[in-house]
Amino acid sequence: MNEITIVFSKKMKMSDLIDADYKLLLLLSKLKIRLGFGEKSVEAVCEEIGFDADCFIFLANFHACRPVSNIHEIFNQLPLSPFLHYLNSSHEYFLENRLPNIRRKLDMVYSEQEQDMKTLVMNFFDNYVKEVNEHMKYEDEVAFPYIRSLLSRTQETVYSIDVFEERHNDIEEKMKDLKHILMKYVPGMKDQKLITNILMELYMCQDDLQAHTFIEEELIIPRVKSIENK
Amino acid sequence: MSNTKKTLAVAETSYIIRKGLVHVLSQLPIVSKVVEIKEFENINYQLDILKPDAIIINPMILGHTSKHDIKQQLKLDNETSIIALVYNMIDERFYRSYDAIIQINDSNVRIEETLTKALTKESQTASDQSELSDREKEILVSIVKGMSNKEIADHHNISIHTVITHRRNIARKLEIHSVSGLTIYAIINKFINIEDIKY
Repeated sequence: MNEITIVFSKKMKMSDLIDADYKLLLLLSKLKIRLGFGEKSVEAVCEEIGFDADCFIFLANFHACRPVSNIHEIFNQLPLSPFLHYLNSSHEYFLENRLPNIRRKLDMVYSEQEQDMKTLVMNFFDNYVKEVNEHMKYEDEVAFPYIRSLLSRTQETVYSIDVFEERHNDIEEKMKDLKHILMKYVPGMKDQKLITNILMELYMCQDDLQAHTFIEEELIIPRVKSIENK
Repeated sequence: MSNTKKTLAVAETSYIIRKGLVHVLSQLPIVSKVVEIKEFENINYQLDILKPDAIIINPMILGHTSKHDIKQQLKLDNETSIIALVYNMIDERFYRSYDAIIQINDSNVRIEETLTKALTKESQTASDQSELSDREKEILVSIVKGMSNKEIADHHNISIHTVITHRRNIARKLEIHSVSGLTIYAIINKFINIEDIKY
């Protein structure tokens, strides 16, 4: 399902955009765009929630066909603050929906006889969630407010994006670990259908996190550096 | 980020072929980044900044055919693999000096094989895809017990450098990188009991 057929534009119908790549439903969900948009264009739907339509199209193209668009060039033409909003919303989505949802399923997958295994896996997962939580909370409470103050030229704090870059740790690794443990090393769990479902979700979540990290590290940080140096 | 993922540069003048190839390459699991080179005037400069693991180049672009000439003209070091992109009916022997050849009518599976082979040839060892060796299992148990590299080195009478190599190989084989993940693996496989782990 990686066939690219169209590069999106804001004049197209929102429903056509989703038809072209259903994974963009997640983007809608993160930005709290409600379904039931009828025949409205992308631009009209974005206007209703007050999100910059060009930034939305950028994110849609980014998620759907990253390899063929000139990401850096286009990104540098766009305002920065909608992206901060997007990242904040994605954090909320990961922490309040995605990860709890995976946890709920993991909690159901083990039988009475597998309680030791269950404890191990749940501990691993809970520690992971704690790490992700700290990681994202730091961004929401320290790094992004700093960038906002830089944009509105009200910056007072002594902080530099270098500090953020330095401590921006890898939150995908443990998710990959969990994926491989569940897929390769945990034999014969009772509910194979549920574990398959969990794995699919872990794969999707990992793709999502990778895209998220790419935006932060390859787009936002370099952009903020250039603002700092002005 | 895993250090086994590669950066590639694609030097090709045809828009369609370049875009198509970039797309195909970017879908491969071994690839982290594909960069298009469309301006050939400052190609040396671009490559110098990018330092790709491999360059996929149509040898006709620079008017050369041998890998040696291309390597010299682009001032590439030995770390960069040079892969020829071939879409004319020239005898394959002509391109034998290259690290690999991608033909215009190769399937995506074929391209993946070619590239994986070309990019992993130095790091790959015979035991690469197999299970952990007995030594690696011993080291794994020490890691899971929470020992530092120094402690593991002393305990097993090996150098710290060797410990690090073992750790890297274990992580690569199992595709588990965190200590807590390795712990679960070790318990599942009964290399260690839950009680033996100090948190």
